[in-house]
Amino acid sequence: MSDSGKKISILGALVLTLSFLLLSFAEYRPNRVLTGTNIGARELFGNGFFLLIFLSITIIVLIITNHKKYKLMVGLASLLMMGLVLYLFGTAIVKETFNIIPNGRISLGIGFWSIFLGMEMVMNGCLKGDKKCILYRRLFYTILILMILIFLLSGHLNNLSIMKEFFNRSGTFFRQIRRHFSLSIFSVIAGLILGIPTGVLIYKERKIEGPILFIINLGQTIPTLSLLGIVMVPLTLLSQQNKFIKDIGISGVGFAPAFIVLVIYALFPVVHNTIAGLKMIDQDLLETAAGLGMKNNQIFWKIQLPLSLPIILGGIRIAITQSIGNTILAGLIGGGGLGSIIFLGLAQAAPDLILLGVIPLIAMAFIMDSVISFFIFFYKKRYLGLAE
Amino acid sequence: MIELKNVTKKYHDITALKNFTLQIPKGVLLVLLGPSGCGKSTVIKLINHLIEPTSGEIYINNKNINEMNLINLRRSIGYVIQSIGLFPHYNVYENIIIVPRLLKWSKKDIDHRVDFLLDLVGLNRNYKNKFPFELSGGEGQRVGVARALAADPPILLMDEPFGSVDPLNRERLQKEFYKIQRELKKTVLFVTHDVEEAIRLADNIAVMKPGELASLGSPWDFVTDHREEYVKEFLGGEYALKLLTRFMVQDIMEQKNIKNKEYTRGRVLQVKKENTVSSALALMISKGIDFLEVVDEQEEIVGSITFEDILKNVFRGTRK
Repeated sequence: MSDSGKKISILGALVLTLSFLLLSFAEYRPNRVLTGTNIGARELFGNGFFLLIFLSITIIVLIITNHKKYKLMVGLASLLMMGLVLYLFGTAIVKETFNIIPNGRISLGIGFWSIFLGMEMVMNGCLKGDKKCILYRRLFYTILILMILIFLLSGHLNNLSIMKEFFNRSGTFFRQIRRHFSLSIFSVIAGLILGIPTGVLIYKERKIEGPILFIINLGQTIPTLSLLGIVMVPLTLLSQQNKFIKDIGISGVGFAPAFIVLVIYALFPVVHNTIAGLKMIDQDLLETAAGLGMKNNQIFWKIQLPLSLPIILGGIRIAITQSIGNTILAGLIGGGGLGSIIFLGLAQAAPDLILLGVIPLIAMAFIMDSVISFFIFFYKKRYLGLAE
Repeated sequence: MIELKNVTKKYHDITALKNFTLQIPKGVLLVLLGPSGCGKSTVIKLINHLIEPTSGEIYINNKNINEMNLINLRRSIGYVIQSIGLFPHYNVYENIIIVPRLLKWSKKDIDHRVDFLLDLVGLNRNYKNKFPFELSGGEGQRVGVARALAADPPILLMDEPFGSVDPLNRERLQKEFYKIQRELKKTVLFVTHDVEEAIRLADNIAVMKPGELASLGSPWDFVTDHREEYVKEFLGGEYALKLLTRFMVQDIMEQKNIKNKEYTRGRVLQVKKENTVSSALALMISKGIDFLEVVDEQEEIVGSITFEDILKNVFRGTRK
């Protein structure tokens, strides 16, 4: 492990220790909007507190002594710590412990986020300069997310206010997740249907590269909200004047403008990566393909497309993660999705409601990113002999 | 037969070929030799119509290639380039069968053909599932040659096919290709800048200077007859030594009775009859001797070779 990496790791482990010692891990509020009182780790976790302190010191010791399998051990210790925190938290926040009144709420405290920060620092330091860094990292977070999911599904954390928000609107919640996901995915699919042929066309006709890329780049430069505004005006006019368009449900608000904006944003990475992927192919290969008597369309489908696929997939990866984030804005104009939960939370100054929208959003982006990254990794390794 | 008639090729205002005329008779391996940038590769790409001549005509079997179907023309020509051009996402099998598959051969014929080709180029049959990144340079070139031969084309175009292989493997590939060519009798245009390679492989050598043909003849003419100052320059001072690489020990050795008293004299070194004369000469020089025993594949003595034999026989032997 590099020296600077070690420093970051130890600093991270110190953040962990200090979080347990100093920060509040839960916030109790008599109702949804009133400010609450903070509850520290010692009070909240009882004797488990000492176990957590012991674990964070163990991590420091493992790093300093440079134990042979310290990466594995630190990873396991971190996961154990998170599991313990989640378990103790769930056990601690039953009503009786803190005399919570029926409408009272208990939510995650700053210490919770602080140990996420500490853990990320520990891992970042440990994996600095490691060739399989990306792989280990993904493995770690996948286990962590699974762990959190198990705790959530088992009902152990049901007393948490965010879970109460969830139960209050679980029907809407799942509907909005589905809506959010399909809006993001379908806009990217539309982006692919438009973007890949555009990229191919630009690759073949270099003359049109300038003007078309100018338009696409411009779309990317305009802030999302402004673009939404720009799209809403003509759509409103259109739906007012044309009955058919109105009848199929297109209007200045709702699904249609959000979808159009998302497609415009998806175009940028898809088109650029398609061009880059095609340009990267060795000219000798294309000449050989032609020399062997392949027709142009055969060269495209059998040689150019498969060889540029990893780069194009990279573009799709960017488009999807970006699209999942941008879809929040659909919530502003009645397009649904997790944005509607988040903006409702903002309007009501209910942080738990905001979290209820944000957490699945992050999970969704993370999962899609991982799935496509894995596919790219597999494809490169299997077919091109390139390991990342 | 391939024929280029008064072909000129200009790229913008640079003339790559000027009034270039060349004939490659059926079944002949013609080596196009010249320094880099003299237009050798242009000649090859003109023949399979990857580029179009500015003026002049190209005929294959007396048919103008402009009147032929471009795709069918290319499928009837084997094509190998220096960077091999194996498709990285195809395994060896899929790389080899590109043209047969384009020609819609049956699966059975294709499989049969691949086995035959792998044997021919000296690759193990279990290489079929390997990907290009798993091959060494020499193995890659073998696959490249196998791919060019896949649909049994009457014509082969080879653009410095062994250029990126290390010297040891290059020599082995040259020997094997020489054998394959003698067996299959393809019409081959082989481009190289390596004089030794040219002498070793060619039936005919065409030497190019930038944009035009400098001389044309057999390897023997090439080495011994140089009215052209340019050719002489290109050959360098060691041209006679290079000729020795073309001949094998068995071409000039004396077949002698093993009981001859010469064989009993002291410690004698041996040379294989398939080795080149130049390697025999090198052995003599390095050991300070002028006599070697010649053995066959079973290590049995079949004759002898002396420094005298080389001096006399190489030139006499090639004159016929």
